[in-house]
Amino acid sequence: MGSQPHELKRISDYLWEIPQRGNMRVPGRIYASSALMPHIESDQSPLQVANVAHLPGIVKYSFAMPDIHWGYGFPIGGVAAFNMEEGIISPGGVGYDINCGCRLARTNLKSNEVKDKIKPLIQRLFSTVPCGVGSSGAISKLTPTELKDALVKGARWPVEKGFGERGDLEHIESYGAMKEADPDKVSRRAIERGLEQMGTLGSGNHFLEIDVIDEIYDEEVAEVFGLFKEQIVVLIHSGSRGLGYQICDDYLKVMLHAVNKYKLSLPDRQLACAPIGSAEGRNYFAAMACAANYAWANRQVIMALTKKCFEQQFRLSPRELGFQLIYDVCHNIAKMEEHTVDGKRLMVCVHRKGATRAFPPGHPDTPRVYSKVGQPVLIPGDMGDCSFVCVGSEGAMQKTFGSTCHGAGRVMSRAKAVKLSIGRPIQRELEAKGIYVLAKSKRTLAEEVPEAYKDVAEVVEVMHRAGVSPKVARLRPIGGIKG
Amino acid sequence: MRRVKTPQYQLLDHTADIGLVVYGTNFKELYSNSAFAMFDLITDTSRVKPKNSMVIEVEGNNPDELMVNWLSELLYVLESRSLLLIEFDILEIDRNRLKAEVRGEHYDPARHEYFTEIKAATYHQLKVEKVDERWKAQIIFDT
Repeated sequence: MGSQPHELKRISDYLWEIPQRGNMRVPGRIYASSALMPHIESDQSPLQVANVAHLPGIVKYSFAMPDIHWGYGFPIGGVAAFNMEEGIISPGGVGYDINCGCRLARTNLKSNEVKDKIKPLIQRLFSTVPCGVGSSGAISKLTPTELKDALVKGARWPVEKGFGERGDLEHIESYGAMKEADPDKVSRRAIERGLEQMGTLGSGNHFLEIDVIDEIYDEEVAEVFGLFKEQIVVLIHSGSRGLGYQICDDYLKVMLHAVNKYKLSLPDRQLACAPIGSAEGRNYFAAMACAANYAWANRQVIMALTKKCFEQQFRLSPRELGFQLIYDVCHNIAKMEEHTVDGKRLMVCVHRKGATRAFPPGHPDTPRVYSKVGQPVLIPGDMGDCSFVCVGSEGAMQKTFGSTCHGAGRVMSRAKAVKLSIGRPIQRELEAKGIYVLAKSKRTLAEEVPEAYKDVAEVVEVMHRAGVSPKVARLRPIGGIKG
Repeated sequence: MRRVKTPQYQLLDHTADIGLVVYGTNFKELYSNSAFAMFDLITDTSRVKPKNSMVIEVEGNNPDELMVNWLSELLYVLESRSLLLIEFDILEIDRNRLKAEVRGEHYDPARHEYFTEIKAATYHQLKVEKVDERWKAQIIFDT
């Protein structure tokens, strides 16, 4: 790892470049504002952007989004595309929580209809949706055969079991399943960890939140998405749970050996990877796709449970309630996609680690219902802060391999956050701000205090102004549950 | 004795995640102290009783890998069997292999609180080294 700090050259108001040096194969590029830059420079994430630029087959740039923070090997908020010939695939470029992601559901309810019922609604959700470490699924423990079926079918699996509707599938990135999934590439241990956690929220920064649409930036797009001012919506943030962590762990070991086998020279062990076409690379991709599918099935179950709670709480028919999935996006994933590079169409393996796909209008992978405006992009804020709905654009395709930011990004260690929260009634502080939160662990609340995060509005603004993912709507939280 | 008497480990301040610096008077103790320190992050270990035991064996190409594999194994036991562990009796150990009897009890939501979910022990800035007369490990967890 080079110890000399990298030079950061300002390209425009919202873009910095790390010039190519040493064994870097391409320059690095960081999207940020002057206000965010000090945070970014204060941890080692620019060095990590430069480290990723060393990897074989990297195309154009090693990118970082404005919510970049230090990660394992690859920074969180990093985007990198690799060509199919010399390129690599890396578990560290995806992260432990494979397909950690976000889904947004709409309702016909308005904030004034919910205001008085938020507490019982949150209590109902808290007792219905399993959350926290050690919680087990809302559906009884699966058999390995059932689980493997889910790993192939993704979100379609719970839909077939009555969790949600077939129409939901069109409103999910990759339609809720990566077809490359092969459960035979998933270890027995990962399978074992997945049996009991289907339909569980998890802990840490994962949450389920009730929000009010408090600002619309683009009326036309908001209408296509089914959003309006003062509307009640639900935001779900969860991932592939223990199954995903185990797959990452298993394949990091495989990749450490592959690095020697294929004589790859890496600036950091956590960048361990293998050529895309190698057995190791293909096996990881097939297992990663299983975890991605598990995460989509998981969020599908959680959403169906949430819908039931709404129906019970408000005693409304499904038609009156109008509870519908708007979209579901991944934040941690590698995908084979076609992009234009130097005027030519090129198949690349895009790693998005803490980054969101932002496909434009008319793209074949943008769902038909949104094909006129672009893919919905969901950017959750931290606990107590606003979240945003943005939209994919041609700018994203040209600039960032169809990618944008994914959230706020930590600026403070968990230990420091806990120290800062000692003696503070975090739950009551949030309630004073009009947010009713129930959490399984007090520690989780303390670790996730709003001060521990960057300002998500600033992060979203950078990608809006950079012409990558224009803002559509702002969501203000009024209640939530956490692990 | 398997339990760490404070202060055999320190928290490492890290933006994204949690790290530990652990000490041991010898190589063997370093591995049992590291395991205890990890469970101390996960739960209030004083409320866990050594009711159930099992024998665990792990391998690694070097002490670094052995450490990551050992802690990963314990995280797997925690999740797949809901076992909170507090005692780590290392029966055999060398640079590439470790055999231990570990003890703890099943997670009981009425008595045990989970503080932190640890996703993995990582290789980032991982160090296992002898400093003066003591052994020292630095481990960063993805949480």
